[in-house]
Amino acid sequence: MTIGTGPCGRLNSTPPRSRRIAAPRGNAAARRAGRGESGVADQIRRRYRNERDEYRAPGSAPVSLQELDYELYYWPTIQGRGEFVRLALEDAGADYVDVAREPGGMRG
Amino acid sequence: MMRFLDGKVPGLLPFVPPFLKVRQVGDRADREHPRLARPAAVARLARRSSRLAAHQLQLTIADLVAEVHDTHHPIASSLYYEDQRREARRRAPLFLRERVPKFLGYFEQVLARKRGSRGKHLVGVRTSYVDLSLFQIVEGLRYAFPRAMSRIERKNPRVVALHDAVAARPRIARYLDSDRRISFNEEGIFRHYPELDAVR
Repeated sequence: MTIGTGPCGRLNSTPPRSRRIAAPRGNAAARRAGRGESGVADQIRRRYRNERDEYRAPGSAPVSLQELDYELYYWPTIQGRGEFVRLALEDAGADYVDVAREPGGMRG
Repeated sequence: MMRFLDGKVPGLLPFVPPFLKVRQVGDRADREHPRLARPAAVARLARRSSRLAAHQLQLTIADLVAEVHDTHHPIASSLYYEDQRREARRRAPLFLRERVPKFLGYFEQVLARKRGSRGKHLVGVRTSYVDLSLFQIVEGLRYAFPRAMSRIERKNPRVVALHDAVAARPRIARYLDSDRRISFNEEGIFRHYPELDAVR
């Protein structure tokens, strides 16, 4: 897989090191609340949550998959192999964050 | 993402993207709803035999994806396409003549044998992640090799019907119409190089 127009693989896909802009990790209150640990993902999860459907498991009491969190890590500019995962998450109405496509997500 | 790839995060070291982090083990939601505390991709396949069948089909799709990749990178992933174009022009026509019909013909057969669900799903009686993956295969092959695919599709009507049914699913339709769906381009797996879209 590749980023940019270069060879296909991770060889030239590492982005330049930049200043970390994610929120501090390991926030105790967040951990107690049972939320994730990734700062970047935490920040953007709130925004995503409002855009997604509630998921009802077939034949069961209504349970929101929003209580479960998925963080997808994949190259941000291509469908590639990540698209198979994106489709599954989208079709399930899952609460997920496409981390690398968010600001600071490649570093996070 | 780089924190994981650089090994700075505990847990299983990912090989390359994509990888999916699921927040579940030991979480409150996991204890209360253990049946749902697994990836959405398999949440719809209740029977173990169905999950195994789906896994097998998905592995076959992964094989196909690797071969698609090798049409434009037949020699090495570390080389530019331009540096292996000659080999690509030998490989791609054979891939289109021999391999795509074999793979799609296989999925066509799997669908034909599924009388229970009238050929609507590869596994079980409901849409699962392998149906979504086959949809993506058709989409990608259409983008990369439109000329060859128009011919191959005629021989695999069930595969095309499954593709259409997935595209019509409300959440998928909304997703495809959204900014979240990245356009195909010449940096991904499915690349459109007209010189490779030829059946000899």
